[in-house]
Amino acid sequence: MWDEIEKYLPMFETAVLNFADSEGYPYSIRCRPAPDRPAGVLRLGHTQGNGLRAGPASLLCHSHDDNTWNQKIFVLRGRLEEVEGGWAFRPEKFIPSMGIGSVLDMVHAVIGMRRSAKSYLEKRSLSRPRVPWGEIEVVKDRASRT
Amino acid sequence: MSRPENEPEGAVKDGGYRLMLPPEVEEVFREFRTCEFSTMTRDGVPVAWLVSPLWRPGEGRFVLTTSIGLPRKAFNIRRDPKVSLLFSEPTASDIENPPAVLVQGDAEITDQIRTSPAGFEDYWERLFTIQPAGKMYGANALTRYLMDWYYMRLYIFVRPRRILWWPEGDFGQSPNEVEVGHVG
Repeated sequence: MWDEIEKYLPMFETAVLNFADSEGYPYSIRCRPAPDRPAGVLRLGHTQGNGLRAGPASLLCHSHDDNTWNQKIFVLRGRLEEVEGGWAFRPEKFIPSMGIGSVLDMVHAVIGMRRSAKSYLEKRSLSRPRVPWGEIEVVKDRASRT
Repeated sequence: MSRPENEPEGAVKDGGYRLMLPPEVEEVFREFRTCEFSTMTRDGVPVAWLVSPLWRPGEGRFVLTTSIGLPRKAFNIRRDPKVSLLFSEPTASDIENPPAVLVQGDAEITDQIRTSPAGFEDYWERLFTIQPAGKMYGANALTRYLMDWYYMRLYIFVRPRRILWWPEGDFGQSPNEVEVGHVG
């Protein structure tokens, strides 16, 4: 996991830290995580005044271009901890997504999504719904004209 | 409780209402291409993924969707409707020094799988406008076969409960905050 963190984290200037607030709602802020591999944590900056709470947490790193394309996304699941000198995120799982990994990884991901859809339908005894392609093409055309 | 006949799942039952929001916050809702949408996993970890929501000011709620090919968000919401949307990525918004905005709210999700854009043409038109390359999904026979699941959507509606914003996206400051009084 740390090899992936050290490979991909520098691609992002900031990350989105997610933790639960006192009422159980997700609370998210941007931070600048700095890896400290020997300590097994990412040290966080610029987090004062934002009601951080220790506990289960995640970090989302993502980017996209002006056309919301060329996305790069990965998530770290772990725990938020108060440490000497501030706060730190202790990662437990690296979850790659769009644009992270090889082209083959992306192909596997698309196949996995198709399988997930099939499984979702089968578990509910639903037949595969028909997609009204004509209606979708009408909306695409309208979007092209705006 | 069953829905009245002919009322689509996800329809606004009370005719909606308009929240009074600072203009710079509403501009962010309107112009940001994406936001980070957090749901609570079974083991209590808030996990965020990238989404492109549509703010419907007349209804006072956001419209989002997820494909049944990526159903984890749906499972999480059905178990725990507490969610958040962080607008912190201003790429292509054309707003100079925008605030970062966090919306905490309560989500509803449809059981019905919709493949037609009917009733949500505004959502799909916006999606194809801000992500033109997405139009390739279903553009020919091969992608219609391989990617039909992309259009098998569950619709998610988020009503804000609390809105916080950091002027100029400076998370080093304490945020401004407004509670949305009609919820809870």
